[in-house]
Amino acid sequence: MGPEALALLVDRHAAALTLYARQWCGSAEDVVQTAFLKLVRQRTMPENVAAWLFRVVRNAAIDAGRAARRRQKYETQAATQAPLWFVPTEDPTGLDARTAAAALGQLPDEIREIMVAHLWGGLTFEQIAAMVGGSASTCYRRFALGLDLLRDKLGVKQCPPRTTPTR
Amino acid sequence: MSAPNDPDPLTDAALCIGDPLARALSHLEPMPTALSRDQLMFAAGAAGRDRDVAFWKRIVYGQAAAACMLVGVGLTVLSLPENTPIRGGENLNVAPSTPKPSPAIAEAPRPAPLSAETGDPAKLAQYLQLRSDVLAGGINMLPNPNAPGANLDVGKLEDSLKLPRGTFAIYGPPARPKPLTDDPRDLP
Repeated sequence: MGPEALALLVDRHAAALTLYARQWCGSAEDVVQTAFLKLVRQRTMPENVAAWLFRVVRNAAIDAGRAARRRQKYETQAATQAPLWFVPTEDPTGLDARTAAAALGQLPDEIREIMVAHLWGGLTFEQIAAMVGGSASTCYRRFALGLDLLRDKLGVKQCPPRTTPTR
Repeated sequence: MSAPNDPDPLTDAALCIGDPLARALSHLEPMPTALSRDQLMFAAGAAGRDRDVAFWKRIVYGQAAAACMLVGVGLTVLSLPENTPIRGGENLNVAPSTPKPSPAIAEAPRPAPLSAETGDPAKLAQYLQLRSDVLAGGINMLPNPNAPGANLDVGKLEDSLKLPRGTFAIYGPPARPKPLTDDPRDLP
């Protein structure tokens, strides 16, 4: 992989990957960097680089989160504020970034990771299913459930029933 | 298996596009990562270089190992015919593949080949003694039938010189008593 391709991947996916890794651990940047370095060391490039990166980041972030929780048993937990997940928006009609992040953080892990991977990672439900296990339909149902939960938490009105999907 | 009423996740773009909450969420921009791009690129370059170095290291180590093995096998093959010891009488019937007799060895009378089929323990013991003498003292230890003193009778020599018997006697350790046998002639 050439440096240009790597730079393009970093520019395109680093922020979403960091957001994705933050679901499990605090050292999200380290996890993402490790994933990119692992990609560089690959002799053959994966078929879908984005899905591969998300899968590697997920596994590494889960491991890092476990290790951090183990360390915190013996260390004084620092009262550090969690980093912001989203850039604060200036648009008053849009969602408040902090509120949305707080509501998103209260979702169950298996729902939140699907929403993050789909909304900000751009992965399809099939790719997410291959990553987290299960079927694409299961991932879809969890995504829809997550939207409903967020709607309740944020006080957003229920959207009208979906019609026949159009592409 | 998905329920029959579930929309197809592959074609259902309305969930993300049509749902206002999903659209609003997707408009939220993730915080820029604190990942240092330059540092990552440098580390990636180092990782790629390390991968190449590791590849060539494996090649060189493999070639060195193969060369060492070939040299070892060659040395072993070259050194085997000269250094292989003859053990007991088991290899005595095997003819040497490339005999390179030196003049001294060619002229020296070789002891008669002794095979295990002879079954004579006295001859075998004599042969082994001669063999150990030759190995210890060289080919000069081989008996030479043409030597002047080879068939010399010491008693006749002493008589011819009118010397008392035992003049040329060689003093050695006392003779061992004969082992007891079942032969009645040996009994006192």
